[in-house]
Amino acid sequence: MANKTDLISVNKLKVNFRNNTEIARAVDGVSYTVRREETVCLVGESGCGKTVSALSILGLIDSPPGEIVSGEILFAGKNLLKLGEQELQRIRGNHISMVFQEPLTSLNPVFTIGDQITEAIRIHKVIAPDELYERCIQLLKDVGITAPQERFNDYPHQLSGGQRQRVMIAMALACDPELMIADEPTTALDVTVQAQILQLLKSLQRSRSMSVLYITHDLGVVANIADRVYVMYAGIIVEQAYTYQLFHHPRHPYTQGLLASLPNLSKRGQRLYSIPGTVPNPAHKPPGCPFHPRCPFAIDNCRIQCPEMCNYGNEHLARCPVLYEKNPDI
Amino acid sequence: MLAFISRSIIQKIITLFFVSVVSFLIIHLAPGKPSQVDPLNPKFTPEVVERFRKEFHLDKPLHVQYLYFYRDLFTGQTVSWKDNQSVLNKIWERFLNSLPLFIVGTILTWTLSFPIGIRSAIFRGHIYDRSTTFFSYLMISIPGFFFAYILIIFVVTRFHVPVIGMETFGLGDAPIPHVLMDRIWHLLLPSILGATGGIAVLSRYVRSQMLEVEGQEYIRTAKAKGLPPELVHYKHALRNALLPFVTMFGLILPGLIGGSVIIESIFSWPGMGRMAYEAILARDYPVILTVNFVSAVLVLVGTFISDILYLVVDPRIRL
Repeated sequence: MANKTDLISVNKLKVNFRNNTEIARAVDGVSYTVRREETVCLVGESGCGKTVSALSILGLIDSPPGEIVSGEILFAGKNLLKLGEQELQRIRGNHISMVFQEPLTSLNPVFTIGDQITEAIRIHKVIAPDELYERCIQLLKDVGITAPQERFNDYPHQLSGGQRQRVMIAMALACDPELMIADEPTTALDVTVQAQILQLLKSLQRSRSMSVLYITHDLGVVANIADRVYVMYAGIIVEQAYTYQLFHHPRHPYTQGLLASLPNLSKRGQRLYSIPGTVPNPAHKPPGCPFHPRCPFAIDNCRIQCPEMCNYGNEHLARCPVLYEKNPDI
Repeated sequence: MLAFISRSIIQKIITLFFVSVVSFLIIHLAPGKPSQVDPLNPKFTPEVVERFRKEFHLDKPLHVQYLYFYRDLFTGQTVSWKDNQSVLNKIWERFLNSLPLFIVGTILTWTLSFPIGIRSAIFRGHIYDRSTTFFSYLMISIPGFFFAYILIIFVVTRFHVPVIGMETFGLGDAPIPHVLMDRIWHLLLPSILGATGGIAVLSRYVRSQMLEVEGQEYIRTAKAKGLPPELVHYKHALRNALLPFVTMFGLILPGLIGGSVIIESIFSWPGMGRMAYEAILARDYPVILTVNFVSAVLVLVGTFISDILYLVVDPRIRL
């Protein structure tokens, strides 16, 4: 697996949000890589910076209040952070596309879905009108919309939530992008539809041999879809590994806590585990390791200095030297 | 669709009936009587007052007066108590005077507010936005009569043109271009004055609508698709931001008959607003009530047009 080439790599990205009184370090030096034809999950709880780091890839952070402080995002040899607005427009939707969380509000209510899907193609490609229509119908078929010719002229409010998310996916696929960023695409859907959409994304990723950066807080989804996983906490990556490794040998106390708090058939009737404490406010992060106030293994040094990643081999890295010293083997 | 239209028309006729009753009652509840307007007038002997009351059915109970009034209105026989002229003719004459003011004012308001408001939403916080905000609040808070005098002094001393009234007397024999220019100069100030307040308020409203829509998630989707900013703003955002203004557009219709008392008084413009104002002072019930009735009809027609327009522009609304 390791021989796949890198498609996009985010290096030491820092994004701040400022208002009049304080600065929130939403993303605080995050690095991750998505390789060709691979699905990577970015996991973390709300407010840990996972969406912000993905939006920065497309240059969609509103500035102000957002501000990309440092870092680089390399895509096809170019640093996306250094590109001008017009060059970014040529990449958005064309090479990198995005599916958002809320299919209900992410589609424009006053345009037909056919118009909204073909719009992306019209912008990026030179294409004849009949061919455009055919392509849109094919896209709708690919994402599993029944009777696509009839749906073509429908407005978003005429579709169900799951269908709208399929339309969003069709829109994201319209120009055959190399990378699709999916920002919690199933969170707003009910469980059965969730499973269908996940299955759809998985098969599309394979048939189109594209890469997917999947952002979620749901470990069940991660286990289902991901090749590799990055765990984020309070604006930093705390652990990265292949999916199997992460679920079977978590090496960071936060990941261990997350996995321990999953419901499990063998723990029936017991109280679910929960990590004590709450997520720090990004404007008032604790010094040192941001997880130390909630960590059962914290030592004095954790309160002073944010630790480096410890390498367990086979691309398994975790930001916890305390556990690494106890058991450095994979 | 047909069911909607007929239901809506029936509802509006019922509303109109209640409006007519309530406005009739309010006029009669208001202090002062038509027969007592000028007690010092030596012609107003008790006999004359009595004859007057009989002539105009003022001695009858209210509901009978109501029926008399609306019978006259619908048969077109209503006459003013002041000068015995047909009310409908009076209104029509004044309406034609007010019409150019209304048209120029409305066109100015609606064509200028949108570009101003949209631009300040797109360049939110920039110097353009801040200066239009400043001028909007300036125009909203400055009293109309005060601003009018500043404008009059400026235009008269700078361009040496007459601006009071609808036209300059004694120009009848002048060549057509002169008469035309004279009319335009007279029209200009009152229309601008009537429009400034409207532009200030409407452009603020456009700005806030536009800002709200720009914060929606479908705008982010449009950007993520790689659309250029012009398409994002003027296709995806503007189309949604315009929806509420469809309602307002129907409501400009009543302005046709309302006119503006202040502006018409300042510029001695013989328009609707002044006629209605003078009728109120004279307790000239037929004129007041007819103006009231016509404007109620226009309000209802305006809302009806808005409803229909909404059906056309918002795909979410279907019958």
